[in-house]
Amino acid sequence: MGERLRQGCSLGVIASLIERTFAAMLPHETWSVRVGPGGGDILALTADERELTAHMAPRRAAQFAAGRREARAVINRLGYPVAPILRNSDGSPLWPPPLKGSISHSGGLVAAVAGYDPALLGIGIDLEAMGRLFPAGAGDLVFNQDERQPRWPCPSFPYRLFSAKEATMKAMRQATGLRLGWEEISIRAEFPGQRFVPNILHQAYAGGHSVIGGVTTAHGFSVAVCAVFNLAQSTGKTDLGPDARV
Amino acid sequence: MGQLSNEEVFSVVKKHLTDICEDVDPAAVVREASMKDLGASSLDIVEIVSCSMRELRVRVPRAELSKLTDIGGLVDLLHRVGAA
Repeated sequence: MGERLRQGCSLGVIASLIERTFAAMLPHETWSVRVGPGGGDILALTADERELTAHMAPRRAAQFAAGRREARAVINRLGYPVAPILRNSDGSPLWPPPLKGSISHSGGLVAAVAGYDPALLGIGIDLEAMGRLFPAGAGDLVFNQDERQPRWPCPSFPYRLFSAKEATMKAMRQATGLRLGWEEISIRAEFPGQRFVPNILHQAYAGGHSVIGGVTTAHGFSVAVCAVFNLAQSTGKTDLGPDARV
Repeated sequence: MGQLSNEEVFSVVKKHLTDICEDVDPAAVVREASMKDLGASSLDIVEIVSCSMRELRVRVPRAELSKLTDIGGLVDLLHRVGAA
């Protein structure tokens, strides 16, 4: 009972932190986020969705079902008809148009975000459980020279950097179709400010977008969201405001 | 890396995968599987690649890693770089 209460409290805190971090990017009525337990019932999936789990390990299938459960709740909250959420060829969720969205799993939780805005081309979310020190070798593989530090200012710092990169990869893939590598995204790391602006270094990337993100930590999790807007259609609501650290 | 066979490289990757993702069924780790579908998180995958590279004493260009879709692709890449 106590554990369930604690988990319920964590879910609510993490969800509200994501909402707060994301609020400056989109008008509140055009997006929604949900955080829930990371295990779901595959029998609650549609037949088409269940087919996608056929080759998954049981744990992954339960994660998949949880992600779809939270995604459906988000779609419902936005007032759109609930439809199957299948998969793109790269494995990312295929959101019913005109919605853009993202799902992330880690440490027994799942987070889903979706939104609709005429200027919004992609949203990415990344959730990471910070249950141990960030693995040193992983940092060498993921972080660019200008992102690495001889000594991290705090243990959560590399997690936030990693989450920011992952969320940016997802948002950019949805917006442009580009599959970016870790070395092709550079994050100006000025945490504890919550906002970040990624620099996209991919050769084929032509620009024309406003790419902004927010990252935070709560209850042992690092959470980042990133949104990609069409600069030509942007109406200024992507302005990060006075506390932007860019 | 000495002249390890493709199968030996696969064993190294499999060992790190099952060490890092403790609840993965070793029997489910096959070349055609994706680490994501076995339940590995993004950070788990980075760590598996990093530990495999360290044990095999190879360095793979980071740009190559983002193109991989399954375990077999990673094993082939590590094997090819190690043999070069």
